[in-house]
Amino acid sequence: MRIVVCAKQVVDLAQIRMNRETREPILSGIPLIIGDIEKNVLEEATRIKEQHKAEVIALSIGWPQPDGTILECLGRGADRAVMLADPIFETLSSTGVATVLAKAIEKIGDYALILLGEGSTDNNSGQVGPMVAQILGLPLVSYARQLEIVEDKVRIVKGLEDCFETAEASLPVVVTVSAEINEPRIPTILDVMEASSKPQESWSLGDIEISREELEQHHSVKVLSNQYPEQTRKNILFQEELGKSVDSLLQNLVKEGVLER
Amino acid sequence: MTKVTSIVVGAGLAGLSAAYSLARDSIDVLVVERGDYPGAKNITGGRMYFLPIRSLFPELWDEAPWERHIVREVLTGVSKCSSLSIEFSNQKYNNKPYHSFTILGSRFNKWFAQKVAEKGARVINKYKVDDLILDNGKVKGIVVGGAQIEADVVIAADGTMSQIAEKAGLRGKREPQDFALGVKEVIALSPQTIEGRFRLKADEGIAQLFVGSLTKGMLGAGFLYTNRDCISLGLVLGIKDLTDCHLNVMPYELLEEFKLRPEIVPLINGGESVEYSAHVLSESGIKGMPKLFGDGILVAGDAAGMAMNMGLTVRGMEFAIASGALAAEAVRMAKKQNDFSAGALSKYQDLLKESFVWKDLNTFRHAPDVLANPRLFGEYPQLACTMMEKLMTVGEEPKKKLSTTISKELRSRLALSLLRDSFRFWRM
Amino acid sequence: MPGVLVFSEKDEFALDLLPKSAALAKQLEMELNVAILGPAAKSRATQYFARGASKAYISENELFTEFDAKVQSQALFEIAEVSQAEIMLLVSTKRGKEIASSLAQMLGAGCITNALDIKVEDSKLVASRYGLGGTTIVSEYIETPKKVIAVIPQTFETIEVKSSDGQVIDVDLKLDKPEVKVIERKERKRESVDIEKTDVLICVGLGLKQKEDLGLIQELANAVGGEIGCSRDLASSLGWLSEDRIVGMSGKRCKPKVVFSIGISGQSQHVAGIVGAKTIAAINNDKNAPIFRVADYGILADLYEAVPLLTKRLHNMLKS
Ligand SMILES: Cc1cc2nc3c(=O)[nH]c(=O)nc-3n(C[C@H](O)[C@H](O)[C@H](O)COP(=O)(O)OP(=O)(O)OC[C@H]3O[C@@H](n4cnc5c(N)ncnc54)[C@H](O)[C@@H]3O)c2cc1C
Ligand SMILES: Cc1cc2nc3c(=O)[nH]c(=O)nc-3n(C[C@H](O)[C@H](O)[C@H](O)COP(=O)(O)OP(=O)(O)OC[C@H]3O[C@@H](n4cnc5c(N)ncnc54)[C@H](O)[C@@H]3O)c2cc1C
Ligand SMILES: Nc1ncnc2c1ncn2[C@@H]1O[C@H](COP(=O)(O)O)[C@@H](O)[C@H]1O
Repeated sequence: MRIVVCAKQVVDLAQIRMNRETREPILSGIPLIIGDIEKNVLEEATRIKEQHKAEVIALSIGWPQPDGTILECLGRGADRAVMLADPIFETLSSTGVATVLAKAIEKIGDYALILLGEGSTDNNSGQVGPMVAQILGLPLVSYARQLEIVEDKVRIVKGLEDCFETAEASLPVVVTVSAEINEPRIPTILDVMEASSKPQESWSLGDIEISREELEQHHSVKVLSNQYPEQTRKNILFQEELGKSVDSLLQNLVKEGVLER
Repeated sequence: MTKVTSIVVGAGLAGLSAAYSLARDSIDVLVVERGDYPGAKNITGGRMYFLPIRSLFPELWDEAPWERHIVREVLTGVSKCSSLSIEFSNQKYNNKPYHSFTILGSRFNKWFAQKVAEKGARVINKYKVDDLILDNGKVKGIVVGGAQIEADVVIAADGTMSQIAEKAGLRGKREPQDFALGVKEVIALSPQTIEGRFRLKADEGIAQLFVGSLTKGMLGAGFLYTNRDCISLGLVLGIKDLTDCHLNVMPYELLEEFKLRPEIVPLINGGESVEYSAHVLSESGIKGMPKLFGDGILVAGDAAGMAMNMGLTVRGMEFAIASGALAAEAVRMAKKQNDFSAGALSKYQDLLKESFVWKDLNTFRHAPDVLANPRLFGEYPQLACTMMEKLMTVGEEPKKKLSTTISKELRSRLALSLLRDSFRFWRM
Repeated sequence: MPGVLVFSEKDEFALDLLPKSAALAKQLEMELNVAILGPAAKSRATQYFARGASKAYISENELFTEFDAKVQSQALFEIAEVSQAEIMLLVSTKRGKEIASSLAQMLGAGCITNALDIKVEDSKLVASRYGLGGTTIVSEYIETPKKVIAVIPQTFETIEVKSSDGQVIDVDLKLDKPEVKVIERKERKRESVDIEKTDVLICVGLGLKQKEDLGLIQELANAVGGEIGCSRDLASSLGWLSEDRIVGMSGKRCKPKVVFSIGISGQSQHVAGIVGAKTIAAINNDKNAPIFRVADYGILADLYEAVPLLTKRLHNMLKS
């Protein structure tokens, strides 16, 4: 059984700062790391691999080259990895990302299970999974918080706002997973060392037979602005002796009328 | 079990320099760093003297992410409400090769690690080396989160508090006076603002040191370095004074007070504090060094106590880089003989003794004692400020003759100790 | 006439979205239509007309008895065609996002989900959403001829119902059988908390070392008469609190007078849930914690020391 894991590299959100004049995020120099949800996705793939005979292939598209993310995937249990890097990916909308992923998945071929995150750590749009399923003409089960392979079927518990649904579909199938599905284990240093010797391939747009012109069509969402919300917080840090700090805090809260005496 | 030729613990300057040298000589090397990325945990004030290390990796330095080269040195003595600055600039400081640079650990080490990886070394972040594999006192490898990796030789470059040197039995117990605590804040400002406020051209920087009441009489000093788009501002405080001190102040409180001083406020105004950090430094110099080698192990950089308070500035970066490179050289020789015993690795110490590292550390070996003198950090800066105040201020009363003003100050009970202290300072 | 088509798998959400959609349709000079699928679709249409819909495209096809995102998006794809819809306005529930994404793919349309607001600017439909994990607000518009936007439920003020008439069009849909079979459905146990309504919210995060220590937080909540909310992992991974108490992008967005944020690092996804608070007070023992950058007041301390003290002082204060 072949499992394809789609993993997205994202900027390390904890390190982004704001340009004070424009309120725009300063992204240059911020490290690119694997998304949080991707760790759950990989953990799930690895867990399946431990129970069934399976090969896990990690797939990531991005710009700059998502090699750190690919290495992380390999350290977290993927057997081999495919990446595509191209500047065009920087501004591609979800339909475009899904198109490229679908093409690459087709080239990988022979897939039984395609796993994605329910929403990426930065965009959290939740669009790519359903779109990939649509393009490949495969059934989709999203928001999985439990996943089981029973013969040639997946059985999945979906977590929706008001209920949990147990759903079943025949392989091959596209599944998006929620963070609740598992607790990703931390790879050992030996896993990380081994990762760098696992096979990795770097494909170009030509390799998946997709033209630049076709992808240009997928610049369908234009960003007008991307700014920090206006911030009017006081940012006062009390660091006196604790008793004094607590008193100062309470005095201020009462003065502001947000805490009633 | 997984085996490699050499393991470097810690991707600070010492570790990276060792790994770079080893990889350049095609020796298999694994660097293990506990921080999220190299540089994440490398807190430094930020000035590096370039000339001592220039010849080590001549191919590297041209593309290094230097922040600014120092063109002006300022020493400021502060008392409670006044300050006195001495400014020194030298035309030569503007000539290449530049004499010294400011750097930011986070940027510099990240870049350096990249170069190390390009040379073929493996750098693994986010893993802490917990222990050594020991066999009859011989170091055989490392233990990381339960996993074991064997190696012919381990280079401990894990910084001041080096647990690795301790686990290898190379170091005994240390005392509070061997350490200082550095606290530092990085304040972001646009390059234009920095250049305007400090009267600098692009790429030019200043180094400013502060002594006096900001440390409340404790051993220590404040520093301010200009980087490309931020300012490093911090304090270095003797841990013994800090713990003995009846004032019961926290270092960050002192830093907050420092930031509020009228000399500092206009320099950092409008800047955003982007990083706060605290770090222990070794202050004991050559006297506090551990044994530098053992069977299958070498110690480099701060882990080997190769940082020092020389007068008013802390120096450690060049020592870290040089000692790392020399440790690598010793490994290279050991590998040729395929002998990684203490005897073979002792070559490291010989190499060090011939280098500027040992010589500088030796020259300044008395510094810790001289500096352990509270007058330097309290009374003298106060004295200087008071004298200036008397010289400069015109009040309602008629002004006294200059000579009387000065001699009166000097005749105070401080005079004798001043003379004695100056002499000791001179000898250092 | 080109139209705006509004749909949600839940009537209540679609109805909430309608008045706003009507205003937008008017600005864009488009017709406002709705799709209603499933049992009694025809009779449900009246409520839609009351909120401004002109035409209701309905289908009572039995395939809609069970929800299936693919079947629904297929239906909407066909309805979009017959109703000449250019803009599809859906609701960004989990099901809604699934429909929106599949539909957009079928239509070759650009798609925006999790929209916080939509408005017409320079005759473009501009939507805003959180970017960079809740750190920023992205404002964007779709350039393809057809557009799909899913708006977060209950974003707009509910407007009074006034009755009016509309046209019901029963469409004959060609639908495929669902590929995914739902074999069981369990309602979620709802806790009767309303952390969105409380004036004082005590948010607690992974700074808490063990479940038992929630007692400390409860005492504080009792002292100020507040409700307890939490960061995601405390509920979802650790299960110490019910998921109804999660505050943030994937939980509740709260607007209390004051939030006490305790042992929370302040990552953007969480902060998105408290930005509406009048005042934010944070307790954290890490000076670099991002929460201090979004808080009005911060105390740099161990929560195990600060919280009991805060509770005590509050007791004294409220007694006096
Ligand atoms: C506030 C301050 C100001 C200073 N100012 C200056 C100055 O202006 N000029 C100057 O020359 N020097 C200065 N120094 C000293 C200088 O920073 C150090 O001497 C130098 O950086 C030491 O480099 P190093 O590689 O030996 O150690 P470090 O940079 O401390 O590197 C040690 C590395 O090992 C890692 N590590 C530790 N334990 C483990 C483990 N068990 N497993 C894996 N990794 C581990 C750490 O995360 C760290 O990255 C200053 C120091 C401080 C704190
Ligand atoms: C798509 C997506 C959506 C998400 N949605 C949400 C959401 O809606 N809501 C949400 O909360 N999260 C959400 N998250 C998760 C979010 O990214 C963070 O992982 C989470 O908010 C972190 O929780 P925390 O602050 O409790 O934990 P941590 O980040 O681990 O922080 C714990 C904090 O406690 C402090 N601390 C530790 N000990 C003490 C002590 N003794 N005293 C005082 N302080 C102490 C630490 O300094 C630290 O700052 C989402 C993530 C993704 C990727
Ligand atoms: N560039 C990408 N490369 C690989 N997978 C991706 C990429 N973008 C999105 N995904 C997958 O789609 C999921 C949902 O992303 P999104 O639709 O952006 O919320 C992610 O968690 C990934 O599994």
